[in-house]
Amino acid sequence: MAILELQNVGYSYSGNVKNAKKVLSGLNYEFDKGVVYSITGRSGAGKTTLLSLLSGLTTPTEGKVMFDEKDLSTLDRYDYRSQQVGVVFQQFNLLPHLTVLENIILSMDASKKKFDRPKKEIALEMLNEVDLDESYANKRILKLSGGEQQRVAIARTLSFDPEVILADEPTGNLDLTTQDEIMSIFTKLAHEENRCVIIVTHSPEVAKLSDKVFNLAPLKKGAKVR
Amino acid sequence: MFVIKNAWKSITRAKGRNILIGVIVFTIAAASCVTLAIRNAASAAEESGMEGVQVTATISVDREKQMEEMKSKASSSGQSIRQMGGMESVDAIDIKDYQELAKQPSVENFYYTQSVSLNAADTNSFAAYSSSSSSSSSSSQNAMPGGGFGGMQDSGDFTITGFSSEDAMTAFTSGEDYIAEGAVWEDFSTGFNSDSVAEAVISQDLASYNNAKVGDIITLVNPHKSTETYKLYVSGIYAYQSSSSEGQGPSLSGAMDPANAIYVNTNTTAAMVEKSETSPASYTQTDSRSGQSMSRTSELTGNITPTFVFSDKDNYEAFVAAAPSVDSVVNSGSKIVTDSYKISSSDVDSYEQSIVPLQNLSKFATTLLLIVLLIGAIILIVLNIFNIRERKYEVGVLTAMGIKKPKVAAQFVCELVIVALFGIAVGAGVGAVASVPVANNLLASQVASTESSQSEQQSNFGRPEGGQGGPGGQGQSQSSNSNSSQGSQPPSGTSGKGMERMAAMTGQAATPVNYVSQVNATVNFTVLAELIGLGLLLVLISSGVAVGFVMRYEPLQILAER
Repeated sequence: MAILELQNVGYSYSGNVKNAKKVLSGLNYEFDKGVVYSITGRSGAGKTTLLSLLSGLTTPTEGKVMFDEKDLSTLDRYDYRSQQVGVVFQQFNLLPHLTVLENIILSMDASKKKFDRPKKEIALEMLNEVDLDESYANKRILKLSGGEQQRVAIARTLSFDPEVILADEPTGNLDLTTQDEIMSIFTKLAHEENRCVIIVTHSPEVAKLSDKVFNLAPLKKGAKVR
Repeated sequence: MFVIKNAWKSITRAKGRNILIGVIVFTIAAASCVTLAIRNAASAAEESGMEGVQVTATISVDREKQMEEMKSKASSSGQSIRQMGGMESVDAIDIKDYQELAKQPSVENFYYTQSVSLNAADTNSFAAYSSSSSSSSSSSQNAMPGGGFGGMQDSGDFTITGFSSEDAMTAFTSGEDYIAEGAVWEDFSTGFNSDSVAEAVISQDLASYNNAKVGDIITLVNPHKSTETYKLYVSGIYAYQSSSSEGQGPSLSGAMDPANAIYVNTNTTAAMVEKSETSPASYTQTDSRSGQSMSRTSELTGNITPTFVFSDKDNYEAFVAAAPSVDSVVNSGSKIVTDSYKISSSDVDSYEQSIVPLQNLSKFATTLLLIVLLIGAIILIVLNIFNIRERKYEVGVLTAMGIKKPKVAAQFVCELVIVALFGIAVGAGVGAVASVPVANNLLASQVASTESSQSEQQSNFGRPEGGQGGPGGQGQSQSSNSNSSQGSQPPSGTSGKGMERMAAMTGQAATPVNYVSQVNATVNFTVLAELIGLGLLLVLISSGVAVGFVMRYEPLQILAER
């Protein structure tokens, strides 16, 4: 059973009607647990838009995004984002005035989930899982390198135990070694922890390392909404 | 909890920004605290200032109103007031009507004085005291140094003041006057005895001037009818504190000189007036200003100055409200206190005068408070706008993480409230320390400016300093067939200087105002509550902007912009 499903999904950027630009149209796809997916495609193909739709940051202008057989647009998308789906943004989107640990615990707080252990303990464990030792726990985000920030962003995503993990160009800023390490984390999350991992990428290496690739073909340039 | 926890973290991590906001809130709070304390203290002082204080009031001709009416008549007829024959006289209120008014439940006590003007019968044996070298004689003179409106009093050498009771002798009850020799009569109910002699007390100055002693009988005469004489038995000689009038003002003569005040009871003065009315003589008087000749009679005018005593200001106000509807017992069908009269209380007036600087200060404080709040609100709003724009990314991240917008907005408001509470707490502390000295300093300057404007006003009128033009400060007008009673109750507890005594005698209020110069502007719970209320209101208004921004932001948009 698919955890996420695209049913004839289309998306146009609104604004005034004349300038409305269609980026996605008639997409159908199923995402299952335990699988690492890569969404590929050329720039402007709507990869990030699709990620926004899947993460519930926005709703499709056509069709439906189904989560666990429920239409996402009918669910509380704030709750969905804070509890069901973890997003690793391209820019990491960590809060710079907070420490590593505080960033992770913030996500756990936001999820309103009950945890069987102290949050700090879980957070430290998550850091360990992304190969960051405890000395990072009280560091400010701005003191970290890009790769380290990326790992913290992943740890934050994992902390509240979401079923779906979405990552936008997670390796875009990283060197090859780090890229491989990150990818192995994602693979482990899907294969060992039975999560659905969806990675938006334009990197063929990343696509190669994933289980399934969903290639987005760009729509005809300047396609207008009918 | 989540909101407060995050707010606190955010505050501790962005110290610079929050210190700035805190300092601004502190400044607003300290200024507001002082102004609120001033306002509260002023209103408390206003409310409690006359609590349980006995109030005396009098009824007098409303000269200002009369003047206004004359002016409007004069301007419509194109004539000057003088051409119109001067101020119209107003029928005097009969003592029976005053007594009727005194029956009002609000009145605690009632007494009155009645004064007539008489001359010495034989200046060789008993003459009026004169501090100047020229001896005074019967003369027509203007009653008031300040001049009156067509006022031309035909005054004699002596002012015979009758008192209705001991209470009426306020100068004695206050200790301003005291008997140096003999005694004041005990019986106020009898005037002239069977030998047509009435008891009187005279001043020490007058007694020594004439070599008069207790037990002497002095003879006085109607200024305009030499056959009409009155015999007074000197039962006592009174002195007054700081009796010298020299160097205190203009040289006084005749009835104007306080030394020439002879005290009797009201039965005596009433009998004098009655006697003068039996067969009055006619004479012609020339107005020294207009040159017009007027026919007059020798009837004595008995000016009645009533005093109503009230247990407090509320009763006085009740009386002021009720008095105009009391029917006259003398002139049936008409009211006693007509539009031509006004009820006034020098106690209330001087109290109201005394709190003028305080009220000014309170007004000033209110204006300052509004300005501070307005500027504070603008600064806080602007700071908040910058703050929220700067933290747009944070809003995007938090909402993208699934934290609902109201929660994010609440966090921002919470941050501001926490910082503001710190600012208010420190501001209130500083304000509490500063409010009393600041309030009293400001009040002192208000008092000074009120005093200087008052003394300037007085000097513009050519009056000596220290004299406060009170109600009834205009000249008395008299005519042959009617008289007017006017002037307020002689102020009690004054220093007894010549001018004041003179003013008191002639019914002119000249009490120097003791301004309220100290105010207890302490910061109490009311002030604190108001301060916190205002502070939170300000914070909520300014954070409303932040909330507006947060609710408008879309996480996707914010994150896409980066």
